Amino acid sequence: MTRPAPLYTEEQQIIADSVQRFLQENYSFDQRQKAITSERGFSQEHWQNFAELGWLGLPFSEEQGGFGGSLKDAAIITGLLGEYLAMTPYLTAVISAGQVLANFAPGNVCELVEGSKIVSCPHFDFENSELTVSKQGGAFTLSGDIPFLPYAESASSLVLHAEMDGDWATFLIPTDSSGLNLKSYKTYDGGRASDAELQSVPAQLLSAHAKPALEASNLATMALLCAEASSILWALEEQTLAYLQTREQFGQKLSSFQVLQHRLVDVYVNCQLAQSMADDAVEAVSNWASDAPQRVSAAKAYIGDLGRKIGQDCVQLHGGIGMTNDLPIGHYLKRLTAIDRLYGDAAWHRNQFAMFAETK
Amino acid sequence: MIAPTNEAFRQEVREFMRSNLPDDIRAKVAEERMDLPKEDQRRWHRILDKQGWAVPSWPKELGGSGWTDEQFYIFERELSLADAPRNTVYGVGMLAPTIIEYGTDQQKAEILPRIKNADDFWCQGFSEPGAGSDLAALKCKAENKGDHYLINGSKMWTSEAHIADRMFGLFRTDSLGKKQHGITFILVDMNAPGVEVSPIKTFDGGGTEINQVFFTDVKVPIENRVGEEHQGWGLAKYLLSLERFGTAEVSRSMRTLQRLKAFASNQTRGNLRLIDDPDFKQRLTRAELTLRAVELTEYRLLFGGEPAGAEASLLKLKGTEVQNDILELLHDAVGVHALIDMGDPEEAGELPAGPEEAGYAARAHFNFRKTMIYAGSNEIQKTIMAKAVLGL
Ligand SMILES: Cc1cc2nc3c(=O)[nH]c(=O)nc-3n(C[C@H](O)[C@H](O)[C@H](O)COP(=O)(O)OP(=O)(O)OC[C@H]3O[C@@H](n4cnc5c(N)ncnc54)[C@H](O)[C@@H]3O)c2cc1C
Repeated sequence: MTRPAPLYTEEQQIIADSVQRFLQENYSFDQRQKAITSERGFSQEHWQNFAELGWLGLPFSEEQGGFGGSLKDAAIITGLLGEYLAMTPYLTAVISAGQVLANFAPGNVCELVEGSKIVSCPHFDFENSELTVSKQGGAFTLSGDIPFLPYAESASSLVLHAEMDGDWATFLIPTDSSGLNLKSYKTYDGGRASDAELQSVPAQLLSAHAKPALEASNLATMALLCAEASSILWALEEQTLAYLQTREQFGQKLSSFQVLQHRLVDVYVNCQLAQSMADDAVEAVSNWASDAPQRVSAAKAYIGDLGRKIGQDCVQLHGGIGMTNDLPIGHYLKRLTAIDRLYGDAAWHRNQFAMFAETK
Repeated sequence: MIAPTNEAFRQEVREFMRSNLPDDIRAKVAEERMDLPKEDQRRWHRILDKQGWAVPSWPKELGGSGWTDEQFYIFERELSLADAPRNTVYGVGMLAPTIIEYGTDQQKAEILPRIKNADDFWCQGFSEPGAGSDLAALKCKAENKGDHYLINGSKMWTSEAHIADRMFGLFRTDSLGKKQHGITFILVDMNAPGVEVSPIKTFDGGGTEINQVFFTDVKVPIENRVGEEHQGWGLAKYLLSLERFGTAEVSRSMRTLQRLKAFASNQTRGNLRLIDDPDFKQRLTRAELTLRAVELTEYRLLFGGEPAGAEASLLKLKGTEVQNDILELLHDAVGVHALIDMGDPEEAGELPAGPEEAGYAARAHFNFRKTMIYAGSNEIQKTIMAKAVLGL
C-alpha cells in the first residue's frame, strides 16, 4: 500500500469502516454499472440504506435531526463513494442543498436525513444566473433557465438562487410545480442531471440575503469534490500499479521497464500533492476558516488539471484494456474530467485564487 | 509550400467534395462521430470509386490514381477539411498493398476487385490478449492440415470485426525458435464456422468499435495463406510500414481546430467570447502552434529529401498528442453541457438536449485516447526512435 493511512479519529474510523463495508457489498463495479443504467441512475433502496446508516444525517446538527458530524466526516463518505464510482444525489442533496436548508429551513432537513425527500440544487453561479424574480404581494415567482441540476428528476424540490433587490435570494420550489419544465439527461460519468426552464413558477422564499450561505454551500461542495477526486486518484494509482505488476510483455512484467516505473512514480507523487490540497480544502470548510475561499480554489484548480492528467495517464499505461467499459479505469477518467467541469473548472479557480492572492 | 501546379488539383478535389459528399455523412463526420455505419462507409467508397479515387495508392493498372506524393498529401488534407470519411483503412490501405507485394495472381484477382468495389470489408487480426506491444508473442494457433489450416485461439481489440466480412491475421504455425519465426499471414472468412465475434464496449460510451474474435476449429483453405508459411512477420512489418500519409492525423486535427474556433467564437464565458478568454486563448494557441510544428515537420520529412529515419514514429507520437489536446479543448469549450451522455448509438431513442454544436465532443475526447495506444503505442514509438534513430 502506497496510500498513506488516513488520520481518522475513532468515530471517523467507524464511519469509514461502515461505508467501506457497505460499498464493498453493494457497489462492486458490476453492481455500479447496473445502478447507473437503472431508471433513476441510482438505487432508491440504497438511498434508504444510506439514511439508516446515518450517512445522510452526518453533517447536520442534532437539533435538526442529524448526527452533529462535520464536513470532514462527510468527505470520508464522498471520497469512498468516488472510489467505488457510486453515483448518487449525495453531494447535491446532503451537501449543496443541505447546507442551505440547514441555514434557512431547518424544518426541511429532517426529511432529507430520513431519506424520504431528495433536494437538488445547482452550482450557485453569481456571474451567469438567468433566473428573475417577480413579487406580487407577499408571493414570489421565478422565471428563466437554470442548467445542470444534479438528479433533479429524483428530487422533490429544488433550491434555487436569484438576484433580488440588489442582493441574492434563495428559494425552494417543488419539482411538481406548474411552469417548471425539466429536461433530464444522463451524464458521461454515470450521473443524472436536468436543465430547468421556469415560467412564473411559485417559489417559497428561504432568504432574501442568502449570499454568504450560498457561497458556503458552493465551497463545501467544491471541497468535497476535491476529496472525491483525491480518493479516485489513489484508487487509480493502486489499480495501475497492480496492473503493471501483473501484465507481461516482452517476457517481463511491465513494471520492470524503467520508463513505466517513472510514470508510476509521477502518478504516486501527484497523488500525494493532490491529497494535501484536498485535505486542506476540506479542513478549511470544516471550520469555516476565513481563507476558505482561497484554499478551496487552490485545491479545485490544482486537482482539476492534475486529476485529468493522471486519469489520462492511467488509461495510457493500461494499453488497450484501459479503453474498455468493463474496467473502472476509463470511468475514473470520466469522473475526474466531470469533477473539473463542475463548480468552476481549473482555469476559473486559478483566477479566483490569483484574485485572493493579490488582495491579501 | 504546395507547387502552384497542384493548386488546380486542390481545387478539383475541393469542388468534388462540395458536390458529391452526401450531407448526412458529412454531418456525422463533423460531429466527431466515430461510429460511421458500414453502409455509409460503402456508399462513400463507391462515390469515390466512380471518380477513380477510392484506391488511389494502388498501381494504376489496378485502379490507382497515379498521383504524385504531393497530390496524395493534398487529397488527404482536403478529405478531412471537407468532413469526409477517410478511405477505408484495412482493405484499401493495409491488405491490398500486401497482396500486391506478396500475393499470388489468384489472390490478387480474387481479393482486390472486391475491395475496390467495397464488396468486402476487412479487419486486422494481429493483437491478442497476451500480445499487444509485444506482437511477436502471439499464440493464436494455425495447424497445417495439408489442404487447410485449423485455427484455434483468439484475437483481441479487432476493430470492425463485427462488420467485417473477412480478416487478415497473423497466426502461430510454429512455436520453436525465435518468436518472430513461425508466424503466418492468413486470410479468414468471418462467416466460417467456429468464428465468433464478441464486441468489447469502450468507456467513451460510443457504439461497438473493437471486438474479441474467438476461433474454434476454424478450417481455412491453405490457399488463403499470403506469402510463405512461418514468414508472416516480414509481411506484417511491411504492412505496418506502409502508412506514410496521415499517421500524424494533421488533417483531421486541423479540421477539429477550425470547428473548435468557430464554436468558441459563439460561446461566452463571463462577459467575454470564449475565444477571447485569456486562459482559453493561451491553451488554444499553444495547441495550434504545436499542430503547425507537426504539420511543417510532416511536410519537411515527406518532401524535404533527407530521410530522418522512423519518420512515421515521430509523426504518430507528436500528431496524436496534439490531436488529443485539441479534442480536450473542444470538450472544455462546451462547458458543463459537455457532460451530457449522448446515449448508446446502437439503442434507438431520441438524442438528449444540449447545444447542438457540442455534439459528441466528450465522446471524441475520451475515444481518441486510443490513438496513443493503438498502431504501436506512443511509448513503443519512442523505443523505435531510440533504436532506429539515436542508435541506443
Ligand atoms: C481502439 C483500439 C483499436 C484497436 N484495433 C486493433 C485492430 O484492429 N487490430 C489489432 O490487431 N489490434 C488493434 N488494437 C490493439 C493495439 O494495437 C494494442 O492495444 C496496442 O498494441 C497495445 O497493446 P496492449 O493493449 O496489449 O498494451 P500493452 O502492450 O500491455 O501495453 C500497456 C502499456 O505499457 C506500455 N509498454 C508496453 N511495453 C513497453 C515497453 N517495452 N516500454 C515502455 N512501455 C511499454 C504501452 O505503451 C502501454 O502504455 C486496437 C487497440 C485499441 C485501443
